Amino acid sequence: MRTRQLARLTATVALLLGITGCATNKYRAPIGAFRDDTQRTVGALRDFYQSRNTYEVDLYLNGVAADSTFEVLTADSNGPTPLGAATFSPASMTARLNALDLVGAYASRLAALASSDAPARFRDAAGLLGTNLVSLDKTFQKLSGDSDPTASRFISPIASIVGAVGEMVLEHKRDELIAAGLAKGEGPVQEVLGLVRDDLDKVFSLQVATGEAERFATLVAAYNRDRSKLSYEQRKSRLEEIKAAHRTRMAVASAVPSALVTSMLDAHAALVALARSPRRPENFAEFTDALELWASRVAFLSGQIKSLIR
Amino acid sequence: MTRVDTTTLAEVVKQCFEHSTDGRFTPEERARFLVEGKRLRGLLMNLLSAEFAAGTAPLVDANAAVRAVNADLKASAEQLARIATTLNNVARLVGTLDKLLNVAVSFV
Repeated sequence: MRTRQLARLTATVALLLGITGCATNKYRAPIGAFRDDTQRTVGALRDFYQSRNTYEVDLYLNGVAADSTFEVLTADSNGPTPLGAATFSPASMTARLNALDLVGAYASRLAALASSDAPARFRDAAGLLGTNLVSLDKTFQKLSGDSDPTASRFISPIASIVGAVGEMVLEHKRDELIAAGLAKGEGPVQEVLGLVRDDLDKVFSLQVATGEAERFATLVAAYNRDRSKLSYEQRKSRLEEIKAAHRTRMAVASAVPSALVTSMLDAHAALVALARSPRRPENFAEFTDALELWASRVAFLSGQIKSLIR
Repeated sequence: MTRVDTTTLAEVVKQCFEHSTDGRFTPEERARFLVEGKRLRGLLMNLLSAEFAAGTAPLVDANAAVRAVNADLKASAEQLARIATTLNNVARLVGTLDKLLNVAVSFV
């Protein structure tokens, strides 16, 4: 009697599982890609931030080199030179670098959660439990002489069903935790990235645009002043420098490093929207589109940012 | 207190440098434009570094919020891992119990 009841229960649950299907981890690949592009973006931006003070030192020494009457000084009548004091305060720079590291860690934590093997481990462990329960049941039969020796045949399949159901529950739980993490992270992460974008747009784009204009003008003035004293080879060499400075000056005019941060903001917003959506294929497709646009910009815009590093 | 428009100041700086390389000005005028451009850029950099420093406080607050989110995400991953580990431990315990019972039976 007990055996027949167990058999019916096992068959019913197995059928239900077959109808509903097993849970699949649709988050793993897209969030993994989000993490990878975040690391590349954060890496490019870190290098850029860390070079902002040396950029001023390089520009200052460029000016000194162009005029033999200029001394190298740590301070002059206008105050400290870039050799005497950092143009951008180290403490403020550290806050920016910390911000970038925290955004990188956020993407890594999301990816770790999305790739958690807890649901699969639960299923494997439930299978192992079933195996151990069967041998334990047989042990008890030996000790007590149980009248229904076939009941133990159902322990393993029931344990497998428990494992499958448990895996689905954990998959669902993991999805909930990812959605909760994204909902909590939306505001602060968007704010941090927005402040970084403001740095690029309102501070550093002006630093670099005027810096490259000064570099070019200084080289041109020095050439025009010195040209009658220079050999042909020396003139050629100076003109090559002017050509390179002109190229950079023109490139800066069209470079928009903040576009890299804007792409990342858009991809993050799309990920948050995905977590809030019914997660149908079209919802994943929208997020993938934003991710692909960002990925296509990462390499190009990272290269532009590198060209601004001295 | 009126905020200085750093964008407009940057345009003035660039204009000075452009005039310093423009042959329609005399060499003396060009030299003057170069000196003035450098001086004005120095002032611009003071303003930009002040703006940069002023933007730090809201960033520090936002950093603290991201830090809290990261801690939550870590706790979530640990919570999921603990569930599987707990069942693993239960499964092993059942196996151990079975071995112990078999040993006990062999002494009976």
